[in-house]
Amino acid sequence: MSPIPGAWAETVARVRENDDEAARDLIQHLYPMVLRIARAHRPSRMAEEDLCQEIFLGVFKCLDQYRGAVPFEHWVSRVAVNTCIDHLRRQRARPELRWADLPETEAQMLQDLAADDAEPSAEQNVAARDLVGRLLETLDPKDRALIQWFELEDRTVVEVSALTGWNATLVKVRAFRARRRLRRALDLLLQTPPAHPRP
Amino acid sequence: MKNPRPLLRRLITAARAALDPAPAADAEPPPGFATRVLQRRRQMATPAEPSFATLLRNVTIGAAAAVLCLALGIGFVLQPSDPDGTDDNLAVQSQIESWVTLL
Repeated sequence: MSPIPGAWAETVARVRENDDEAARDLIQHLYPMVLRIARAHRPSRMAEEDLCQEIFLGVFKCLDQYRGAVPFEHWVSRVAVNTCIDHLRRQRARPELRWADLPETEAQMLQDLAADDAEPSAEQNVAARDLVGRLLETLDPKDRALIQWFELEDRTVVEVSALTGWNATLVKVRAFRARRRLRRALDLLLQTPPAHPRP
Repeated sequence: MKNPRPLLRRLITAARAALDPAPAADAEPPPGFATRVLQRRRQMATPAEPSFATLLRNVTIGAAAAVLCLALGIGFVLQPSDPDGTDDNLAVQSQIESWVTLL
């Protein structure tokens, strides 16, 4: 096995030999990054801590495959993203979102947003966040992750490339298709407004 | 209703304003988190004892495979030397073939 470059080489080597103290150090160091990824890509029915545990288990399970070709943190972030996508895939995607599925607050917010250009209130922002979450649930997990990175987190193509290991062209093409599918999901929702608009 | 394209842009802008803040760069794991992860890691490394159902299933599959091999072996040994069908083994062979088909 080739030596791993970087500050974590010794710790990683000890974790591979089942040193619990080294594993605790690694968890402590990586936790903020893992938590950020888990929070952004968590399936709605899974607790944040459970997903973080699954990510760390994935990291420990695949640690022998790490060859040092990319910085250790990048490699961990890829394991984390793949773990999240696997769990999102297990949670069956909602086939489509219809007007009748929306809670009152989200339907009202969407009507208001469509009706005028006024700045949305804090409550409307929360309703918009929840509605975007519902729309994302109708997408493939990879599309969902791309929308999250580009539209909600303002990530660059280079950053997403580093996070996923996909090349820049692939990231751009997938992001373009993901946006198109999200628009289609919203379009479909707008085609099924209530028979009697809410007051 | 507006064109979904600008509406989607407005929706996303509004959603971004209400996103949960990103965790702090020095966020600590919850108490006992590392212990739980390491316990699960150890459990994964230890092969689980096979359950009775697994044993039963393995024995059944093994027995079925043995019977199939035996039937095929007998069928091979008792191949008729007389293609005209005068050999008595033909009857045995066709019987075995029917068992194999059934299996």
